[in-house]
Amino acid sequence: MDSLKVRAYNVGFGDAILITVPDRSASGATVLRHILVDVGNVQAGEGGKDAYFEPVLGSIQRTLDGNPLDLYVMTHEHLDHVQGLFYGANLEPPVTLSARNAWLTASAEGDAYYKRFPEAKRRQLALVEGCRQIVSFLKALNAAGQEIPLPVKSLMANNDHRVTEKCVDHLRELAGERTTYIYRNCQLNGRHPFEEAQLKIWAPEEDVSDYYGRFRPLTLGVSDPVSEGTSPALVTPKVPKGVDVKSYRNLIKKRRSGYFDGLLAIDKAANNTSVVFSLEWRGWKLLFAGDAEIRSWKTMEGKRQLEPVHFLKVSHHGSVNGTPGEDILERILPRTPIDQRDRVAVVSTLPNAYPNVPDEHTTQMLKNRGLEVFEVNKEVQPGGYVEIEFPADGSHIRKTAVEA
Amino acid sequence: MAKNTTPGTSNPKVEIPLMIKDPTVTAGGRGVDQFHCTLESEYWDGPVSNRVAVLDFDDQTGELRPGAKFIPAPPKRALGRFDVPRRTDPKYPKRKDYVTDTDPFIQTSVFGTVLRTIKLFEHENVLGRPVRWAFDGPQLLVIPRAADWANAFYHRDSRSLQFFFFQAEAAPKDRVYTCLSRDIVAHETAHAILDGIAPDLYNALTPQSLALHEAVADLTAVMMAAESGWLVTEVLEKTRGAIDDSTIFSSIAPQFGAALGRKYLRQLGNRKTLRDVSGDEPHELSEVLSGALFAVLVRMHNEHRERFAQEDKWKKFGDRKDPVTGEPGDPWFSCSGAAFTAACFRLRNSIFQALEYLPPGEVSFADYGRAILAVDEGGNLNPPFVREWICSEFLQRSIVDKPDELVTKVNFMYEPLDNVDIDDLVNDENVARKFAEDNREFLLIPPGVQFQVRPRQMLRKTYYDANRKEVPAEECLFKVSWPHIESNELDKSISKPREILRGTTLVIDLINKKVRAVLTSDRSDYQCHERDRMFKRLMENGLLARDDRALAPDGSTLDSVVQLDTKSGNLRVLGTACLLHIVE
Repeated sequence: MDSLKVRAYNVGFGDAILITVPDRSASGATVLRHILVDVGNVQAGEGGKDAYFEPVLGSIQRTLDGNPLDLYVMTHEHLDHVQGLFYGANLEPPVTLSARNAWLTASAEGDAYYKRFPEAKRRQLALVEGCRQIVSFLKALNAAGQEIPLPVKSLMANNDHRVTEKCVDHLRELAGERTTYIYRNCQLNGRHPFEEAQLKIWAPEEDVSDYYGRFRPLTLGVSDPVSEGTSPALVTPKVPKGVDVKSYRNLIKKRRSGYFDGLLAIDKAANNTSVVFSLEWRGWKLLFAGDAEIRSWKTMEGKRQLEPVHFLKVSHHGSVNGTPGEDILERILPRTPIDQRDRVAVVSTLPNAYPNVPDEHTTQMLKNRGLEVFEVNKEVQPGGYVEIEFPADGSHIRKTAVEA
Repeated sequence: MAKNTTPGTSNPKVEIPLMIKDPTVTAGGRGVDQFHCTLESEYWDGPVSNRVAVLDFDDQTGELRPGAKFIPAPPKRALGRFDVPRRTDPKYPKRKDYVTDTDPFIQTSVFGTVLRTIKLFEHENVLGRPVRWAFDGPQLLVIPRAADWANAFYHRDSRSLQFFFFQAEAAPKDRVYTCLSRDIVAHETAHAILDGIAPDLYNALTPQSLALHEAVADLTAVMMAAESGWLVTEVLEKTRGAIDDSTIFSSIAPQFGAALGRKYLRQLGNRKTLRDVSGDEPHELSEVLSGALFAVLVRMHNEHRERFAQEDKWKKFGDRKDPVTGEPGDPWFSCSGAAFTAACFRLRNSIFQALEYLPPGEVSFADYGRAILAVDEGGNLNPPFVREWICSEFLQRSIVDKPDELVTKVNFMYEPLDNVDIDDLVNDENVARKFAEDNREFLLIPPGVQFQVRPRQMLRKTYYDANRKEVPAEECLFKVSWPHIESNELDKSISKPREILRGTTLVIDLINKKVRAVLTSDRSDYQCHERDRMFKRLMENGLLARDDRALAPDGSTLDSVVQLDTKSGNLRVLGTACLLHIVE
């Protein structure tokens, strides 16, 4: 019997999801089509080892059996979602994948996109500038002998657009002219090969400026490097006469500690541009949420996009902000299911790699709704995968864990 | 009216220039007022004084710009000053105006406006005491040009007021400095002062508690506008003595609002009711309360005009002709400035003193209404009809359903007070605790609940009463608080109830040992329902962070979230006041 398969690889801290869909060819014959959603991990600590990609890419190649992917989806421009294929292409010998179609989030189009949406550009520039200042600040801290905590390193690595850009460039070329920059309500006809399975984009909106929010400016007090090769330095003006020394030092500390709020805001902005799409096949409805955070979920709710699903790729590695509050969750995973089919969620995560991820209350919230929740890192070692089969007749879901 | 005295008059007198409203408003051809300050005992460059320090950081380099230089009064002269450049206006050759776009002026104006706001509260007819900060430090730090952003806020953790600058949307070449807006500076300073008076509001979950902060801050801005004789004269000239139709006093931060494509940030001249606003957004909610009290101010102004115009001092203006137009004089118009100043003075005495009477913990608009009426009636600060106007406004705006919800018994004997030594009650924790324990029912402390007795406060001030008499007053504030547990139906992932703080303020008149008033937190289901809504909104918007998740790696509190403490037994929110930035 036919079944749709969702395979979630353990790539450390990141996503790599292969979907295999039995579909119909033009002649009516059954044909297996493959969608790959993101491949990447965050470049800090255990969760970011490049070595994890080799077995993963090898496994995907074997599954494709020499054929290109039917569709590659890049949800958003974060390293833990974009790095893998670029890495594989630069191996010696290269491990490459090609795609007949590629969907990249709308704003990944770059200059042309930002020309159409000047407010988004203005806000994105503020984020980029914020990121530059934080990089400089962390370098200055490092130069002063202070250890940078791992979660900060992860956040920083993930949001350093200079590193991400090369990976996104690679993905822009993956399907050549058949690359589409995706947003809700964009034209999908001819942009994927599916005849039977139905794909629907829930997010992002075409104008992503709202996701970017208003970036709070940073007051880190860092001087530029004196010369090439030297580090930036922290600027601490001496206490002016008459000013309480303790209060002044506290103020300087508070002004600097804003960098972490800034990093979280930068991270959130990109997460919220995630492509969120549903895939409907023979009565099953699956939702792939990228790293969408609350602002995106609220927008989806406002646009009346939300529908009950049987499968959820848990957003943002199980963070508290990746899964919406109970009211929105009720729309996609109602406490009283709409049918008798199984419901399941998959979360690709790794504890201690990223600030406050995963959040055990969030996982519990999903379980409280009667879902079985598979945490990929608990099921298999890096390089391995968890595969979930959705039988065509709507019978029980089957799960398999396969080590590399 | 009482003389404009403040504590510490042996202090040096220092001349400080400050903006009349903001750079878009001038009065009588001037944009700048002068404040002769006697509040502080010492001054340094910056400006810096014992309680306020301006730190003008360069947002690009992190360096401090040189502060305005302090020039003490020369020998045999009384007035010190700061070195602020001035120039002669060709139109008015005898006048030397401050150059407002210079660093020293920007630094000095914000300093002066902060101190002027402090003076408003410290007046002997208001608090009658120096303001206290809610943080552990002697100085409120003022950052006049923190960074490029359309915002300003008070930040307890950094003990500072943060003012930002931004480019106006309509005129991108114009840079708007929020620190040059008298409204905005007064507003943010009021947050800091109120935080010292009612520190529990900083962690309140009740939307009206946060909205109260906003309303008081906005009303402070109005009262500060009334402190400028130039501005009052100019506006009343234009409106022929009426404030009903003028937005200059009722609109908050017009330059800021205009730069963002609006007329102003908020409008106190409104008829909004609690039924009109969406519910839990503090800024929107605040307009109901500030609108109610501004409406009372308008009525008080009209009443003062009517009364003043009948007094000989003003009546005689009716017999004179205008020297320019030849039109007959108008006593109603002539007295309107004095009437406005008097109305503001009387209203502020009641509404700012009432802040001290608020019960500890969460408070509602109705709590504040009860406190205003208690202080007003208890001290006979205004005629009864003013209290009726206040009641009427609170009713019309659906803050209360019935007038008796605002009634508080004042100035009555309470026998147990006869049997306690007030000095012991103030200084001895055991005596204070026993008094609270023995009088649980009177103080409305629920049976069996653990309570905390707050440090007692002694107030020595002067009531300026309805008969225009100054009456010395000595009061003791005896405050107790206790945790109140509410069910938490919203966050099903944590099966813990929610905890808030409630309390009672007992005001003891020390001159006759009577109870001036007893005020206990609002216990209505409506407020509980509103807290549910607030909690839900915070949760659904990702603004609640549990425990350590509200902390940066260095252990400092994140500014972008409200902390949800789940470890101390029940759920408690901390730092909700960080939502009160001027814009989000």
